[in-house]
Amino acid sequence: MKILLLAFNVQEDIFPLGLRYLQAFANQHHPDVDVQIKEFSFGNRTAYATNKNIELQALSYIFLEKPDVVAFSCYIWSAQMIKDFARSIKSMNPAIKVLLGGVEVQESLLESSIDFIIQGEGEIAFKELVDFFKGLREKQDIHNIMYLANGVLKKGPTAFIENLDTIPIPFNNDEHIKYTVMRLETARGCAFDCSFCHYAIPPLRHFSLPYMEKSIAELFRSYEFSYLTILDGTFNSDINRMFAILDMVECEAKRKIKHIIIHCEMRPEMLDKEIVEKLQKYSFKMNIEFGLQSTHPEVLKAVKRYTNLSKVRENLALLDNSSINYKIDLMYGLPQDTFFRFLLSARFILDNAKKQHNLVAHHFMLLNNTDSLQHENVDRYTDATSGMVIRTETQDAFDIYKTKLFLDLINDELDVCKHIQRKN
Amino acid sequence: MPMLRKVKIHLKEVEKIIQTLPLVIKIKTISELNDALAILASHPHPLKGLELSMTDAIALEKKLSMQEISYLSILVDSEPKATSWRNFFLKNRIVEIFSPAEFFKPNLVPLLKGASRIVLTVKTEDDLENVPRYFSEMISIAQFPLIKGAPFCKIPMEHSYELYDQNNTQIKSKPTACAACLFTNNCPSAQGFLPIPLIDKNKFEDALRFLHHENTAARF
Repeated sequence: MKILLLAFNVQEDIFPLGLRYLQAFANQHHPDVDVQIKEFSFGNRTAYATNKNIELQALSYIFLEKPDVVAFSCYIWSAQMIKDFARSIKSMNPAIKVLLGGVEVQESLLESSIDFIIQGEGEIAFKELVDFFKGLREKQDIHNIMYLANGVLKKGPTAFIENLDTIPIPFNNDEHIKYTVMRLETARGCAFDCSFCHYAIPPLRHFSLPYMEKSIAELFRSYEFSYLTILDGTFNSDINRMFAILDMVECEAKRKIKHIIIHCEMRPEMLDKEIVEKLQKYSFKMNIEFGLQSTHPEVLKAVKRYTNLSKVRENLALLDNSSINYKIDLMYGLPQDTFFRFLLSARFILDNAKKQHNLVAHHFMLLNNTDSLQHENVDRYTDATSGMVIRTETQDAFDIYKTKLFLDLINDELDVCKHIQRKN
Repeated sequence: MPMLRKVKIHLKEVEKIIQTLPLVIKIKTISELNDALAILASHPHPLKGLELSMTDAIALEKKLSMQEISYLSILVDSEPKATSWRNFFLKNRIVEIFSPAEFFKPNLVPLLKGASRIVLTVKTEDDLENVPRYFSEMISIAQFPLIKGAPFCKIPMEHSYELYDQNNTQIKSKPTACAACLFTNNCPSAQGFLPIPLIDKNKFEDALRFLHHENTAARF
């Protein structure tokens, strides 16, 4: 049996960690099955809108490779195109089984050209689907899947991998592929419950430290890379664990004499002087991303993100006097947000994040499968797939767009200042 | 990060200069230019420049092409022509244009593409007639619409230029109808307009909070 795990991506030099997990887990149980990964990059979105060469390229690849199964990883930028692509595959060869998975999928994507949707964690479902294709398992016993039976939606039982260490380490590099950005997952789920975030969906579990140690060693042994992105919704939620993992990375980076930049996500209020001092001592550079999103209590309450702002202020001052780089983000268009509430949040950043040269704010994307979908009177641009919010109880499309324009206006000035300061 | 706040002064007000803030010198005649440039040359903040009329700006076009002028505030004082603008829109320079309603016509919009911001200046209720059109035209060139001269009650308040320019806003005497308004100490004027006092504290809570902490030099 030949299975093609396929993804359409914007960038092509980022390690496909999710697909590697599926491949490794399936191969652990079915070493006889040929599971291949192939990514297609459309790079420039504008070019993609006016031609469909990438689809033609991928269809031709499938035509030549003749897989029995094609499984797609759907993310925010690819979910809309996948439905049409699935139809094209079935038109080319109806015998090919088509699977969809990834954080984006939900039952509205299900139609006759799609045989199965894997919802939630994919490893167990993917392995059990291979069981099913080989005649070793009944369809109704497959976990985390959805499918249509005579036009009726059927769902399998739900399962999570309780012990993450049972997933084989995904960092073998037999193909000698080069990636600029490698990804290292240290946990699944999150200690927090923010309604807009995918991290909050599954229960919180961690890979054990011995697993992390082997994983990090394998990663450094197998790949040349410049950036290491740590996938953990709140890396500093357990300080001892965070430092244990960073120590492992430091050890391997020194052994390989590698200059790398680590990117991770933290909560600013959970830092202190001692932590900041310790973080500065590593040989690698650290870029920390803080998702503040808003400073307004009504907005934070609406998205279940509770933040101690005085602590944030205090810790940003610590970071401003350190060698650590950080980026603190806001979102506009959140439930209960208004233009003035956003302005108050923006001013908090301008007044307190002195190291940051501009305001970073993202349009709130209402993601499939997140609690934010439950908000009443919130509408998004796209129907079945995740997309930008165009209306909330407190804002219309113009309110949201004007916030973006105001943001541009502020950043124009900040960019001019930054440019002149650099020149001088 | 005080970068967004700036001090706008006339030449005779040099004592108001704050070294750590951006500086804009308002020049009334061409003869003031050299003195203004001398002050700007020694000002340490990267954002610094001039406010002047469009007529003067065109007359001084070559001098204004200096890279040292990173901020240019142009007051439209006659019917703008296509050739009037292009040379002012330099990379790494903020250019703001104040256009009276009488000169602001849809065919002006394409000419202004490249400006950092365009501010419609109004004096009477009649000037507000075309505000919805002004908003849509501004949006079509990705500009945040700003209006100078209108009371807060006559336009969506966030589009008032004075909201972000409290330091330079002269609070003039108000009609009796304004007495109960929450913004009597912040709103630029109600003369020439039919005011509708804004009295809903809940509705304007966040705007009031914003203004309460806005007692610094101007944002814009």
